[in-house]
Amino acid sequence: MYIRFLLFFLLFLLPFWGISQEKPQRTIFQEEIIRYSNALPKNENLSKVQRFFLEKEWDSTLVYASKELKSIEKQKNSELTDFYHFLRGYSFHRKKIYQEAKRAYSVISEQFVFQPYIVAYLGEIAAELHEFEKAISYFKKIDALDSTKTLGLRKGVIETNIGACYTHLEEFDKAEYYLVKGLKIQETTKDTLKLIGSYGNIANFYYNQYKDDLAIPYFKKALQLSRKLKVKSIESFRLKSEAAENMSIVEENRKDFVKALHYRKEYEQWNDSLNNQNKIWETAQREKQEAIKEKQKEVAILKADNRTKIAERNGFIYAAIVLLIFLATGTYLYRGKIKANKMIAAQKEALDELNATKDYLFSVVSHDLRSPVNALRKQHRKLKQHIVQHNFEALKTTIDTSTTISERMHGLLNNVLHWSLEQSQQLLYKPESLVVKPIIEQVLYDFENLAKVKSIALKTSLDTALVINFDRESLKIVLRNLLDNAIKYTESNGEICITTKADMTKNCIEIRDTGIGFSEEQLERMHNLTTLTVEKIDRSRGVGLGLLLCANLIRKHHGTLTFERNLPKGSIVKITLPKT
Amino acid sequence: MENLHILLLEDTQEEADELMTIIQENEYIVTHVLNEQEAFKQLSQQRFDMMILDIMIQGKPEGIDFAQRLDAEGISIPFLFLTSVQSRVIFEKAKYTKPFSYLLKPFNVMELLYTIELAIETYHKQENTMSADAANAVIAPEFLFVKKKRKVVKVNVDTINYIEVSEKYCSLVCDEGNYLIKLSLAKIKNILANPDFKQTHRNYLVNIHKIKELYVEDNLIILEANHQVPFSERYKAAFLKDGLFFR
Repeated sequence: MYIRFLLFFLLFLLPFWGISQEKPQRTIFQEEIIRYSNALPKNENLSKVQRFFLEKEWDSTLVYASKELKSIEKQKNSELTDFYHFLRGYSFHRKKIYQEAKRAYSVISEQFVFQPYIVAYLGEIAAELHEFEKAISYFKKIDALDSTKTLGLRKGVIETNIGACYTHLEEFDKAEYYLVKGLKIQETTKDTLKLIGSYGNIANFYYNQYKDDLAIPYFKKALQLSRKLKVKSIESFRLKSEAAENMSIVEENRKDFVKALHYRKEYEQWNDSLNNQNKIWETAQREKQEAIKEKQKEVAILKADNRTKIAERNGFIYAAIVLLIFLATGTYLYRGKIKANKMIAAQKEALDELNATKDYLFSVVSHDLRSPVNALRKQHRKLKQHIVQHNFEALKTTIDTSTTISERMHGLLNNVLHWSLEQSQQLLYKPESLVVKPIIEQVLYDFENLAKVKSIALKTSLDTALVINFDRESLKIVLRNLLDNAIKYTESNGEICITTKADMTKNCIEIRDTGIGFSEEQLERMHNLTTLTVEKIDRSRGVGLGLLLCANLIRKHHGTLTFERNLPKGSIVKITLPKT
Repeated sequence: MENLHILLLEDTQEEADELMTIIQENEYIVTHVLNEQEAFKQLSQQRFDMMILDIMIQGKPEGIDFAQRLDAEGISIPFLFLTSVQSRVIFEKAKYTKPFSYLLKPFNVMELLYTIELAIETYHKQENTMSADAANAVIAPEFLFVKKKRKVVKVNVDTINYIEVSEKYCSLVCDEGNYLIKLSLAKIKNILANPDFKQTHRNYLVNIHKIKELYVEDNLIILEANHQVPFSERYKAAFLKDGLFFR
């Protein structure tokens, strides 16, 4: 039969958490860390490091401690850097990366508050790496310290550890001394678990040296103490079953099989409990996994749900966009159609007007030109006769008549030309400051002959300085037409007088004649000349193209054309223009 | 007093003859050319006071091209376009050559003479002067353009005795008579840019070659033909400083 505890285990200084299942108690060490870090200047990383440290999230602690180390690199605050190096070292230590832990611990300065812990942990690491002598020297340093300066490090644990190291070095005397001493200190504390461990250690230590008498009481003490454990943790069941097993082995070796059986049964009972506990733990684990799976399923369902919702929403958006596009194009096309319709209507109107103009011009050509041409033919026949008869007197009058006829035709053709140019906006329009007098004189020059033939006196009373804003050729067209009209309707020995006047607001050109004048009806009609268009012209009523053209051109220059009766006989035609 | 020399570009001999008759009746000197090449040749040989250009030469608006070419070569002479078309299209094209006037066929003598006046006025930027009233004249650096009966003649600026401010404008006293220039005295002085004309008074510009006697103390200048011009203190010093009058 062999003894279970062949190797001596170190009693780790590292605290046991979760001994009491109700509430995780904080060890003295943790309290010290909290107190220390609370005294440091607050920042986000520090609180994170603290939290991860307390939650034993070693990787996160490492990450944030390193980060914080980098950020405070330039501050040269040795206390802070020491603290973060310490946390790093501790985390490596807990992750069993001993070399890194040693390196982190080694850069910490001597003045650091947690120096005793560092020494103790270096000792533990040395022991873990089987450098027992080194470990002993570390542990002894702590052991030598005053108990007030150990910051809650338990001397009992330290001494037990020294004993364990000596045992490994097979220096049993020294080992015994420290183990016993450690045990005594442990007995004064209330850490039952560690005490049971210590009892076990020391019992095994004696038993291995075949000092059964010394060993057995310790085995018994361990068992008794373990029996008292009320906590239902795996750790406590393990301790109970080990203590019972040890006792059964001891009794078996002493050949007291009844007792051995009795202990064995106890061992099995605890073992079952342990297994049970394991099973419970496993079940709990499984349940947890089940719960996680359940949750994951839910998450998956929710995700899928979300996806369908997003797809639905996107569908709505696309539909809305498509609808909007339809609407926009519809509106656009509709408006285009309306525009096109409007354009067509406008074009139709313009075409109607043009058609009327065309009809009018045709009628002018067919009617107004036909009769003078006819008259010319007659005159030419007469001329022939006169030549045959050698009647030179008659010849002269006939030539004068035909000259008059051709002049009139020329005037008419000019009007037709100007009218069509004006209608198609092709007539030159370049208003300028014009001195009226020379223009009137130039136009009159052409009528001198005609007037003389009819014995009509042409008189003028012109203001030399009168300036109007008018297109030169347009003014000539207007004057020519009005004078032509005046001469046409004035009998022989009549008088035509052209006057220019200016007052404060307007300029005025007046043509008075002593002709046949206007009838009331004609005046009424000419009063409406401003609204007259080609379609409304009643050609038989005496308002011809010439007057219409005049009215148009004067209107274009912001003036008005008015007609009055000249008393006692004849008419007055007045062009009124705004002052320049 | 000199008659004006006119260059006529007209491809139809008949129309040219008719036009030349009218112009010559009014004592203008005319040189008639049938095409552009001849016109250039004449321009290089003689000095012309103005040109009459028919727009349509052999059915093409060559008159406009000719005016454009003149402009490009920096030859600056007042000219007017002669056309039988009153359509805007041709005029729009002609507009870019900045004609100084235009004349529509058929025209009477009054219209032709008037348009010649207009062209000269417009060229010298003194619109509505002599065309409105025969008492007005147009002034250029070397000549005065004045109306004599129905025609325009040019008068050498040497014949000006003095120029006097008259209300808004200026009265110009010449050997042949008096004319009104519708410009300020300062502008006239600028146009003349002639050292022979000196200011003796705020309102007087005097041709120094016409001075006969100078009474400095009495602030009086006697010119030829017994014209009297006053002196003002302000201008006297500058006037005498030149020392031209103490020979």
